[in-house]
Amino acid sequence: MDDTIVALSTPYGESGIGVIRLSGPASIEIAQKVFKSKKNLRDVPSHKAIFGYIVNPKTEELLDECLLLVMRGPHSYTGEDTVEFYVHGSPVLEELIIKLLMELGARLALPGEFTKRAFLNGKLDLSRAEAIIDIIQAKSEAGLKSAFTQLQGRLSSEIKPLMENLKDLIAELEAGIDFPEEVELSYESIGERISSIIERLNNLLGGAYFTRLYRKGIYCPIVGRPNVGKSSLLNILLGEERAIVTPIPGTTRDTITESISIDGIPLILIDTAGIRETQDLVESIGVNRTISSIENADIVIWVVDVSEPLREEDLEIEKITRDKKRIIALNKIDLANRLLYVKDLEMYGPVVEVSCVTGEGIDRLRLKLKELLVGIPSPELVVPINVRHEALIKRCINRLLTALEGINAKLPIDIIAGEVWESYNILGEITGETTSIDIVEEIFSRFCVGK
Amino acid sequence: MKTFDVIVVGAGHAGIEAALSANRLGCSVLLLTGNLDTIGWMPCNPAVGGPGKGHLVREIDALGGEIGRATDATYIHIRVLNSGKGIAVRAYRAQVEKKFYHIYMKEKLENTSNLTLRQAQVTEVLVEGNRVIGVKTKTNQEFYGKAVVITTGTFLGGRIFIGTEVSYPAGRAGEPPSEELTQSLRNLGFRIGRFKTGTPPRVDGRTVDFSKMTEQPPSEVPLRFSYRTELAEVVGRKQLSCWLTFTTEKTREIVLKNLHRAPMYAGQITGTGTRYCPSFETKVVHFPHRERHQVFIEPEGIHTNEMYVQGMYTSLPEEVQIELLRSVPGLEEVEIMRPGYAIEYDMVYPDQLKETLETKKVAGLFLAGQINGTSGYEEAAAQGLIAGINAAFYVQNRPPFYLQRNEAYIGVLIDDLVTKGIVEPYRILTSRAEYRLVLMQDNADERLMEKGYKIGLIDEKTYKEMLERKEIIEEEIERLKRTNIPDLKVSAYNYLKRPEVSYLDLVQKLGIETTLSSELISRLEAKVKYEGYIKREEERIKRFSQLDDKVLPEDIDYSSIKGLSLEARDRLNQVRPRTLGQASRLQGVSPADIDVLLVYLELYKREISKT
Repeated sequence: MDDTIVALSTPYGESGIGVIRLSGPASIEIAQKVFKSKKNLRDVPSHKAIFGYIVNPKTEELLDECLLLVMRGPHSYTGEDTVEFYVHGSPVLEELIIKLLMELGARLALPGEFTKRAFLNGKLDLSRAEAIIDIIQAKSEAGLKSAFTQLQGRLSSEIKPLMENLKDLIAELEAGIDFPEEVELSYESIGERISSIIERLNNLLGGAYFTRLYRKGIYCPIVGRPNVGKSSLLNILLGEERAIVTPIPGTTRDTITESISIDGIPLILIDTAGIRETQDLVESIGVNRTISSIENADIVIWVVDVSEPLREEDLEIEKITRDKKRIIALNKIDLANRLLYVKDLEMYGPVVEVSCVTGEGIDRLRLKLKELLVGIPSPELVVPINVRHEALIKRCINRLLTALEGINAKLPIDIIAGEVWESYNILGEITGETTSIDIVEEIFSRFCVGK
Repeated sequence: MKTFDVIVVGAGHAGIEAALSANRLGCSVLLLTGNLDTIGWMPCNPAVGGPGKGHLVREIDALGGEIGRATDATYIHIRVLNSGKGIAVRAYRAQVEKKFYHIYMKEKLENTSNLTLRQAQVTEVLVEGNRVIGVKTKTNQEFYGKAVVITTGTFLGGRIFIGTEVSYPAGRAGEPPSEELTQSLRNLGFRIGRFKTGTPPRVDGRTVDFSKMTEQPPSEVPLRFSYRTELAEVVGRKQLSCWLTFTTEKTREIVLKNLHRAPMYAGQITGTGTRYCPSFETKVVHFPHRERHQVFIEPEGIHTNEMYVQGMYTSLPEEVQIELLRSVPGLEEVEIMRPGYAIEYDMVYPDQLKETLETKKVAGLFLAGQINGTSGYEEAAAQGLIAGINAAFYVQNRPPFYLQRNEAYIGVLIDDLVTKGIVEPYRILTSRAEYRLVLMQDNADERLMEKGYKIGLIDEKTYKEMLERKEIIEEEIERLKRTNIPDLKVSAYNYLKRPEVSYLDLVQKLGIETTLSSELISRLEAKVKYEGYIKREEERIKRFSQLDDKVLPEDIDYSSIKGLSLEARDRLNQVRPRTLGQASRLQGVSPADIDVLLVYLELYKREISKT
């Protein structure tokens, strides 16, 4: 109850407003670090909304505008100092803000934890006690269960060997300290072992990126000037009629999103409005959306119609997709080829000839897409990591880096050992192992010491 | 017949501290020992200190105990261990003159008024209701006391083993065990266990070839454990060296050839041994790839040729012991003066104790030392001190005295004993202390002397001297903060924080005078260099010690609390911890159980405030 917890208080998902709640002794201090406004949160009155911006203090990056409410203990739900952020209800944004607050010292709240605190601080009446015990029980049972879920299991199986390595290291440091006449320590080998653990933790953090990639999918808009067959291509890739396909240019006025899976990697296909100068208001909104979806793209499929010569608009699309990974789909090969410079297009990227009418070349297109996905590890190889894990791994790396700096500066072993112990405990929070190391067992099973 | 305030059974390292502290707090004390000629005896290595243990000695001293004074008065070798590994884990280790140490302690006890010293073997604890009233001896004498402290060491049901053929009852070599007292304790309902330890052979120094060994010279700087020892007492002390050699491949072969003759491997010894004190045969079996093992040859005294062979504790038959020793370079011609042996003894599982070391079952009955499953003179002395203080407070109706894990190694030791469920002989290690950085050997006076002064075990003069030392260091720190290093634009204080800079470097660089003694310099350096780490440690302490401040009601029935796991319920009912912090350290009690108890405590509090 002495630490500060954070959680999203509104349901997860797109919504108008999302509420992020911080509770605990450091909540105002933590909030102050990310909240930019004219007012200092230490001085603002309780229960009064304040307008400002959420800014990452390290990068100065502006994340969102926001309304904020400081509720000083004991006059809050939990009875502790509490801060609530009212932000735009986007899951990506909310996650980003929560992660930031965690980096600054807050801990992700456990289920029911705000209520538990409220009770222990005398804010709820006795009738709630039973319910709270139920929550605690459910939590520990769920914790037990989740240890067996694949998600948790995968990360744990990566973390456990690292904890073993740290345990070995701790045993060695401690044996060296408690049995100085019998066990010698070498700064160099300790440093090497710490470095290798840091490296492996960094690899796991890489998994956090791919986890997000998998969760949101590979963003792949299909672009092209009007009526080159973008919607037909989407349909044939999907294998079903989803987009409205008509021969009238500009039928797709909004973006249509569908996802397919290529070798288990989710690919989000976006059928976009064709880009051309337009007077039609609705269509122009569609075009704007197209441009923004290109900006967010991981891969672009650029569709060119071989039955017509290249136009100014085609080259326009080439320009705006230039710094993206892209595939050029030469569509309508069932019609007569009027495209003169097919060879020249290859300088813009891999070219695949397809026909959405006959289905020819579609397999080749899939294959090309797959090639572009090389470098993204297949899902079995990615260790899924959530926000909480990511924050803990980062904290662990920081402690180990401090230890490493200590080694390089030849700081005494008692200080370095402290950092290594801490990093071990942090990893224990991921695997849920609350038991401390039986240090006696560790030392004496490894080192031959004693009278 | 006279009723004493406190009766202490046993005059080893626990018994001595218990008797002296209770006496110094104003109690009439009867100290009973099986043998007046082995008071304060060191049946194993006559060594005091080392990491963790040296810390304990300092803490005992800061609370007015005797072990530090006695060690300073009688050491024949002292040096610093871990000097390069950090100020927090740096510790002294001394070899004492075994006989002189005994004489020092016996003299001290004999010349303490209101303390009666008597040779007697206690066979029974006398209890009325659930309160202790005294003890009964083998010669049918009854002694009455308001509180009783039992410190029987390895004497309870002790049995010595030398090889598979030799085994006989003994409390230690040459002394009879205490056979009846275990049964008396069992009758009172205590759970009794059986532990095992051992000691190496002693050899004749005249038959050792030191030219084949590496010398371990003592410290040239005069060192002292006790804050009350005058420097003059230790300056120019005649000291002896220790010697280092290594076992050979042949030593290994001899062990393996004779393994069937080791009682531990032949199955005669059933007691639980300790991993940190393995017999030499255990080392060979468990570490088969290790080519050689260290052996230290250490003096046992000035007026004796007996030397201790550290590293070769064994219970192999005597003829094998001599063969073993002679396979070690420098010991080719060695003669044994006493053989090594293993010993089994009864102990009382210490989770039956409060943190005052009073038993939960019998009011006024305290247990301290090896009977609680510990090993080591320092561990025994620490418990003796705490038991003695609390026995006195029990008699005087004063509130109990105990130390937290973040205050002292003594706190760590006793908390481990009463919560952890001891399954093998327990030795203190610095790695057992989670707040190690604040628990330095050097700063024990700052941590504890005020408490010692307040309870009445530290005199005014000693207390004032501590305050003076503290002030001198603080003033010097202030001066360093105000002084700038001319060419570097940093304060002298911040400059000293650099790992490679020592205080003496700094003084030289600045060309300033210093009057600080080497002891104070090292403490000043600790304060400056560890400032950031200590601050962080203190934050951790603040975070984790909250649970230790939450006291569990005494009449709590854990079976009736909904939501506790079955395992937690059983363990809590068995141990009945005093605080939530202790509960959290019990095996089988999970963080979820602690949450449930938190909710329960809140309910309890509201109910109390209603009525």
